[in-house]
Amino acid sequence: MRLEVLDVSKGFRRGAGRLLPVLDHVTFRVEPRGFACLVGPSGCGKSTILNLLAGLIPPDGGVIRIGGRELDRRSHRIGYVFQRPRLLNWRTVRQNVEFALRADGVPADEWRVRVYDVLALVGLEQFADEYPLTLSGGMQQRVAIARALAIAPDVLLIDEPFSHLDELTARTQRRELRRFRDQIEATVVFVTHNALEAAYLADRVYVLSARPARITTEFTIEAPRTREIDDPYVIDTQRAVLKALGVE
Amino acid sequence: MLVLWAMIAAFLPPTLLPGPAVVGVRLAELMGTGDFWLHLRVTVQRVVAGFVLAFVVSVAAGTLMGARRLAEGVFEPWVLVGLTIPGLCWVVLAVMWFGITEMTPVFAIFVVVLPMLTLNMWQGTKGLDRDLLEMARVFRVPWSSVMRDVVLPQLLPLCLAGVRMGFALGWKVVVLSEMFGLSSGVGSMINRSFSASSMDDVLAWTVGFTLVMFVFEYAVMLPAERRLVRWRQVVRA
Repeated sequence: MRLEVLDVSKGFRRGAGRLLPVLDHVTFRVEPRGFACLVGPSGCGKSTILNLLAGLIPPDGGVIRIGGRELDRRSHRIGYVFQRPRLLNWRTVRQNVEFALRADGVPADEWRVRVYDVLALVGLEQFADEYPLTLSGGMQQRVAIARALAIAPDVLLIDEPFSHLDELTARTQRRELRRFRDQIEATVVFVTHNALEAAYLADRVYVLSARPARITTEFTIEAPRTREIDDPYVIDTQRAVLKALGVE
Repeated sequence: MLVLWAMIAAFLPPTLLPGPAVVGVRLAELMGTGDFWLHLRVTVQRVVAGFVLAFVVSVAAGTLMGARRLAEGVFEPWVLVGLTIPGLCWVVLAVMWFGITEMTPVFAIFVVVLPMLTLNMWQGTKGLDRDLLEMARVFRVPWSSVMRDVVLPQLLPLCLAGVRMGFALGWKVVVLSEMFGLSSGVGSMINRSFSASSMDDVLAWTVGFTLVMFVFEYAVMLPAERRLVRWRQVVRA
């Protein structure tokens, strides 16, 4: 479904009634099944955007539409992948995915197939009955992606999923994500502060300013989705994104 | 431990410290009479009754304190004061209030154990993983499932620790209150042996009681714990 974020503002009350503006008239659109990256400096309000898109907090102004209808947590399905996996460590990988399926009201006789499908997609089908702590950090994060995909979300929100992994592992995980990205039906919003990651994965990149965040620049990436990370086009885009961020 | 006991006993007159062999024989005699089991059963029943009451109240109060500021403010002084009052004071008060009734040991155990267990649950509830609760909210997980899949598994190890602490404290308090004013139970038997200046009997009762604790720990607590933290042990393997 198409995601539209139109003129959205958000502030938080601080002591003595002062309003701390976090988002300042943010507007962007993501096409159905598109993959958009939001890139911005640390603490600029990226997580606030995701919380708005998840419907956890309401915007102060503006509107968020999914598939042409205003965002409603009861009728829209939102998948969320957090910075950390946030798995139930006392439940197996399978049960972690089922946890989301049950909450979404998926009938139990469909669970087996659904769990297998999403785990196979992220390459973890043979780990279904393991406990999360037996898996590596990168694999745990892929379980979290599988959990989010299991509910067949309209929009998939991903919040710096590889930022806490070491660079080598993060590279492998990005490669994995690129591998199965085309099979994701959801419209993806991927938040990162890593310009190279954005240039490697996204169809569109939106650059945010420091707080209060505005969209300062947008890039449409024309290279095929199968591009490599050391593709000259990717490197050039990374440089342009960094420049827009005011680095270099 | 037994060797050390035997060595020290060899240097002391048997009226002060009889050796393990003597006490062992006396214990075997006691166990043969059926009296031992009768008094043991009475004592265990009192501990279980006092503990279960305290446990139920502490789970309710502790989780409420962990989840709600207001409850924390209201109950915190009670818990702190409760923790500082010596168990012996409660025993004396209980005897004066309830006399030689079953209320005395049960009440004493309840009030001594309650603050400790409440503190345990309170701190545990405050330590619940907020990130997981937020995750559950994002996935619109219903309340019942949040309890069963997110909250309870985090609180279970605490409950287990609570059972351990509660029972350990409960044993001490029950024996004290039985010594003070009851005619049945292990404590009163120790008291009777004391009046008869029979060191053999005092030690035999104490050792017998301790052995039962051991059996409880190894037969009930450790297997329960192992089952509960299976998911954690997998990592070490």
